[in-house]
Amino acid sequence: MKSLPAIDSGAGATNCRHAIRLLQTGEAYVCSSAETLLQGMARIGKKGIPAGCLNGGCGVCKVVIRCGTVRKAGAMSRAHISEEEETQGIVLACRVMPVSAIDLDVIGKMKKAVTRTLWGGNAV
Amino acid sequence: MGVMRIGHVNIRVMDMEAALKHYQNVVGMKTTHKDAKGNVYLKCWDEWDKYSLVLTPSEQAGMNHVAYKVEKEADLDMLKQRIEAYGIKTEMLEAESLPFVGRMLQFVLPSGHDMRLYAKKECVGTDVGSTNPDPWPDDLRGAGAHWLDHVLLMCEMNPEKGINKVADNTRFFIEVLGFFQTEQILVGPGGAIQLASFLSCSSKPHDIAFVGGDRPGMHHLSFFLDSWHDILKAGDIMAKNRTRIDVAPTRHGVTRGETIYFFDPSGNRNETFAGLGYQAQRDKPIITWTEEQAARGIFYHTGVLDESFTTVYT
Repeated sequence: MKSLPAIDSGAGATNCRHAIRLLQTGEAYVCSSAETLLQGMARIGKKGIPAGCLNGGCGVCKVVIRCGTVRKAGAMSRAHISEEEETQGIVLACRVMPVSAIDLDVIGKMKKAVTRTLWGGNAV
Repeated sequence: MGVMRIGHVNIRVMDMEAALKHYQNVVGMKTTHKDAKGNVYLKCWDEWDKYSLVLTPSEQAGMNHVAYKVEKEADLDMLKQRIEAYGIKTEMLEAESLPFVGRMLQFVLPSGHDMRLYAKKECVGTDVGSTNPDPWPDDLRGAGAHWLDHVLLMCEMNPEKGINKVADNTRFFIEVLGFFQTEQILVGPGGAIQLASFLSCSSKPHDIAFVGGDRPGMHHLSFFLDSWHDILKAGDIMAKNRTRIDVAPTRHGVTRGETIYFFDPSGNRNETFAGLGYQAQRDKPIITWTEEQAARGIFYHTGVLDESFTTVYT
């Protein structure tokens, strides 16, 4: 039986490097256990998980951990991650650090509302 | 008469200790009060009233309310009548409903944001005082911001449904609150849609701004700095403190301001804004940015608008 993805509250003393896989696209990168999933991605110029405020407030980097364990590194806005979601491994990538290799799916995205086309300047 | 300037903004933070470190060490504000509910009140060195920022502990980021200061107590009664005549309900909150503030006129903007007006807040003086003052104090920290300059509020916009809260707010601020428009961004067929609006109640290029988005929220709160060099130094301070920078130092076409955008530890966007740009006057022709040049209006050098800039906000 596949175990539920876990959010570990432990301290994670050692600094290890873990493979992070984005299941939807097959992209992968290596992330230190001392940085968040999003920091690790952004620092090497990778894209794949949308990057917003990097501080748990805006919600665009919402992901679901399909396999592996992460450690929470700070508060995630309840406007974007409910307590129930958090127990299901749905987290903000900017607020969790890998404790093991991670498989994840991206849920969050840049909103494509009116602003995207209008600001882009080539629509309408 | 009427509204003079932004008085304070009340924002939600998810980690008070981290927020205080940010607003004190990076922005350069000082804590002037803490209340029993855990709210913390801060001011910039060049401000004379007791506070311009209220941090409220919360499980979410974002803005609770924004308050503007009017000149006289009688202005509150006059504006209450005008706002209600416009069809918006108001409530006069009694003095000290917020510490050190007199009675406050509370109402909800067409965009859904909670706004307050007040005439009195305890005056504690600037950090250099009012008698033979030095040009700056000796204990500046971080960017050493002079004052809270403005906020930019994201307002719901859905042209297909005929919803444009940017235009609705603009009309309310001009017709009822006595602001005047300095700049706008017009998009869509024939430039029929007001996507962004910049309004002044002083001689600054803007005291508040509205931009269209898919939901209401706070895009940023902005702090004033003197010069381009201060912007560079602020960028250094942010790098030293590992602050998340959203947009590195550059210039706006709109307002001509020099800018850095960055995020506080709860993801609320901040700006350090330098240069008074030009003198805003009520009879100055309104500056219009067209759809194809809108990105250059926002970021003048590159003319490129990163997608996250208009979609990421709290």
